Amino acid sequence: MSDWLQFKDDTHTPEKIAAEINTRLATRQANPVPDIPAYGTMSIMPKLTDHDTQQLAHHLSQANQLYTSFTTDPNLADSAATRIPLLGPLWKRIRGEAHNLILFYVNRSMAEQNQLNTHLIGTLNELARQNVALQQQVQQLQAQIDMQKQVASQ
Amino acid sequence: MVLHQIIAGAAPHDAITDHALRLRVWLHERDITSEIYAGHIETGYESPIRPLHSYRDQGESHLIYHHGLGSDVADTVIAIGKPLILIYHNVTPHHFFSGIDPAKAAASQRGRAQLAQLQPQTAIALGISAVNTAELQANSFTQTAVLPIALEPELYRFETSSDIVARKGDRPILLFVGRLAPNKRQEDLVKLLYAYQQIEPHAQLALVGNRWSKDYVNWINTLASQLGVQQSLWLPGRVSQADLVSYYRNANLYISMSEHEGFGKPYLEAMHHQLPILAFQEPGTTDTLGSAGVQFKEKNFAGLAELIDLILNDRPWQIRLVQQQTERLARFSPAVVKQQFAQILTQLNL
Repeated sequence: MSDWLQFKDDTHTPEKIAAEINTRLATRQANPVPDIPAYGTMSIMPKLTDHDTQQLAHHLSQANQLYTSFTTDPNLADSAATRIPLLGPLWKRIRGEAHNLILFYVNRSMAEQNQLNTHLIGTLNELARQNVALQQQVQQLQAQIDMQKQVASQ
Repeated sequence: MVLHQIIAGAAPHDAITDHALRLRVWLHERDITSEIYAGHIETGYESPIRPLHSYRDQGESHLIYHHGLGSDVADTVIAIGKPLILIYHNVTPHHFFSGIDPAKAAASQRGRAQLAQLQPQTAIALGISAVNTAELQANSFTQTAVLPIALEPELYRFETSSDIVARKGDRPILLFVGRLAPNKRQEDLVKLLYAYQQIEPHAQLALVGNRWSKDYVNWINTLASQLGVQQSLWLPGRVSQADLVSYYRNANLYISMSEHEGFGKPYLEAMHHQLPILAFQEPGTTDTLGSAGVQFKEKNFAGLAELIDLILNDRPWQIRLVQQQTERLARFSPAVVKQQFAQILTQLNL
C-alpha cells in the first residue's frame, strides 16, 4: 500500500511515509476498529435458489425493493376551485402550504421508520445468508455421513 | 443597472448565503443595484436578505440564481423567466440518502432535475469548482466558467474562547467542520479516533457543524458510545463565528473523511488558520486543495492513525504543509475571485 497517500514535500515522499506506517503497524499490533457497518448500509440480500426457500426469496426480494420506495411528493391536481379568478391561485397556494406542512412531519417520521426498516431488512438478509450457509454446511455434513455409512457397510 | 440574486435559503455562516453577500458587495462597488432574495430566511437571522415573495421585476436584464438542493425557489426562478447567471453550488448525490431519508433523497433528485430545467434560460453557468463546472457542461450548459468561493480574512478576527481552550487542555484535537450528514462520513472520523487513541489515548475529536440529519447525529453518538470514545468527542452543533475561529485555533489537525464535497469551504478556513490538512481524496476536495495538504485514497484506520501521529510529531513537516496550503489559499482571496467575477460580468455587458 504505497499509492494510497498523496502529498508533495521536499523531505518526505508518500512511499517513505507509507513504508514507515507499515513498519509501525507491524510492531504496534493495535486492536482493529470493530467492523461496524457504515450508516445507512445493510447486509445485501443473499441468493436463494433452493426450492424450499422460494417463498422466503419472494418475500425477501419484495421487502428489499419496497422498503425505500415511499412517495413523498404532494399530490396537488388542479381543481375547479383553483381555477377561480383571483381566489383560485390564493387557494392553490394555501392548499400547497398545508400539504407541505403535513409532508414535513410525515417525512420526518418516514425517515425514522426508514432507519428501522433498513436495520430490519438488513437483519433478515443477514439471517437468510447465515441460513443458506448453514444449509450448505448441513448438506456437506450429510454427504460425509452418507459416504461414511457406505464405507462402513462395505 | 439592476442585478438581483436569488437563493433558496439564508442562514448565518451558510456558504451560499455568504457567497451571495460577498457578490452583493462587489456588485454595489460597480454601482449595480442588487438585493438578495431568499425562499426561506432562518428565524432571527438579521441580514439584508429579503423574502422571495417581496421580489418585484425592476426591468433587470438578468438574475443571479444560486442553485443547490431541489426547492420551490428554482421553480419560481423558472417561472420568472429572466436570463440567468446560474451559480451552481452542487447537489449531494441522492444515493447518500436513499433508504435513509426519502425527503432528502427526493430533494437531491429534484435539484438535479431542476438543473436541466434551468439550462434553456441560463446565459452563463458558474460552478464553484471545476467539478461543478464539469457537471454543468455534462448537463448541456455551453457558456460556463468557474467562480470559487472566496475566503474573507476579516470574518475570522475574534478573540479565542477561553471555554474551548480550557476544555482542550493539553490534549490534541482533530477537527472537522461541516454539517452532520451521511456524505461527510463523520462516523469514519469517530472510528479513526478509536484507532488514534491507541497511539495517543488523550486525543479528542471535534465535529463542528449543523445537526442537519438528526438520525445521523444519533448514529454518531451511538457509535462513539460503542467504541468507548464518547468522552473524547465534541459535538457542539453549529457554533458562532467566534467559537468557530477558536476551534480552528485550538485544533492540531484538520481531518476529513468526506466522500462528497461541493467545494469544501472549511478547507480554506483551515488553511487560513494554518492548520495542517489530512483529507480523503474525492473530486471536490482535490479541486479545492490542489496538491496541498496530505490526501489519502483508502480509509485504513490503523494506517491513518499512524499517519496522524507522524504528522503531529514532525513540526518541520507541519510547517511545510502549512506553507503549501497558504500558497494554495491565495487562489481564493477576495481580490482574485472579485477579478474573475468582474470578467464574467464584462462578458455579459453588465
